[in-house]
Amino acid sequence: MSIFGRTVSARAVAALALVMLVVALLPALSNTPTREITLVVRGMTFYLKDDPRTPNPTLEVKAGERVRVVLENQDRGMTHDFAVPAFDAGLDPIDWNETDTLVFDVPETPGTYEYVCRPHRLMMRGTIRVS
Amino acid sequence: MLELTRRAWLRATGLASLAGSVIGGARLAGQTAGSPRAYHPRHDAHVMGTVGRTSAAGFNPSAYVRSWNFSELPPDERSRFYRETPRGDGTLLREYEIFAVDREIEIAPGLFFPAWTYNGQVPGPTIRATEGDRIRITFKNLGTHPHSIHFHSWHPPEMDGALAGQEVHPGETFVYEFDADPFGLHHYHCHTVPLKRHIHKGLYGAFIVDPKQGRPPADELVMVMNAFDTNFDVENDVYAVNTVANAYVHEPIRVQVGRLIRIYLVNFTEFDPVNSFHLHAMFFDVYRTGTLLTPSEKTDTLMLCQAERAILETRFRYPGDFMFHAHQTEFAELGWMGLFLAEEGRTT
Repeated sequence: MSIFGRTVSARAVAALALVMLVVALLPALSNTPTREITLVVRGMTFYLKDDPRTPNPTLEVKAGERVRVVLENQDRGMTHDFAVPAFDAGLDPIDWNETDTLVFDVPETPGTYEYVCRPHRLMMRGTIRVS
Repeated sequence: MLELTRRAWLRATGLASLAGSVIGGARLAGQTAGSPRAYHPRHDAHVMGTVGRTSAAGFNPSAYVRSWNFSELPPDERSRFYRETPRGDGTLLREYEIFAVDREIEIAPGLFFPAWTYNGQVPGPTIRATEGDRIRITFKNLGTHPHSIHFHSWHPPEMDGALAGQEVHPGETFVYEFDADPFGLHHYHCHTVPLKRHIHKGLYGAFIVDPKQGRPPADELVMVMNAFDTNFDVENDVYAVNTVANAYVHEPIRVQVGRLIRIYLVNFTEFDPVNSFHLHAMFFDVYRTGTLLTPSEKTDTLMLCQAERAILETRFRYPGDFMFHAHQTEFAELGWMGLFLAEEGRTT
């Protein structure tokens, strides 16, 4: 086949295309997959956004994956945060009607870890299960 | 000085709805806004109370007034805070989850107060038992200061919540346990020093103990007279029954003509030595502290000292609107004012 009047072999074009594809995919391949979890705080309790009935739900994650926790504070007049002390990860407190995002990497060790709202940890605490 | 401050505050918050009448008056008189006369409200305005409404997402005085033992919550949510277990002798074990937490509450439209609360509300949840029941309260302090729960009731000193060393520190838990005794209308409050601040910030609630034989069936209402010092000068700026200034003016308490009405009235006003309850166009029987089953007086105005309480009983004779308010008229004008709306209907 010819490109710009030059003759090039089909094999060379295919090889170039493959190299370009690999380069394009490289960032995606190297990135840790991200799991997004949206938590809503209501009545001094964490709920998953798509399950408003289970208080302080157990969060299921995979070892080594990257997790984005979106925290929405719907508790009028109250300040809340979200933290996983064992992962040394935590948000600064947010006021009601505010949203913030915490990104952390799950360790490679399976097991259960505690998540909390630090000011209200006696009531607002749940489990992160790493499998 | 105090009066000037109050007036300035009223103007600033619109509590007396001056702004509307000012503009109207100025336009009528053909004056420019800003001239001294323009600030005098029209005498026919007769507007008393707050303008606008507090958010429906916050505390609901109309739900609170007829709730006890978390009855306002849906069953699955309620069971997280209140459980009943029958005991061998026919009494109940009543278990409560009470927590202290800091919360900004709306006490008049747009006016927020940094409160310390039991279970996120002021007044705290009404606790109600029958005499002889066992009360067990798991108290968690999720606030930023030491707190406690001190009940007005018979109980051993270990359960007093007021003695040195009995404060529950932030992040700590304490279980209060005692038998409901005597029957009557009581209350609970934080007893951590400085006491006036801990109470005034919102840590109080009603505690009703029913006599074993019960009281005659009635439409029952819980009313806690309270007030808020919004600028922390040890003077109250907003007064109310059940926290939200003028709540029952905007949403009158609906009652039935002829039906027995029973009001559980508690005074938790700090800084002012007394508060009072006055009902227009009617009289009511008074059971002071509710500890006797015969009324001690029949009146239309009752004065209560701080922490005093009384059960009031009456029946509406006529349909229509009936004001009720503190007869310290200053308190009434600063929010402690409400309405009953009596309607003809089925009586019990």
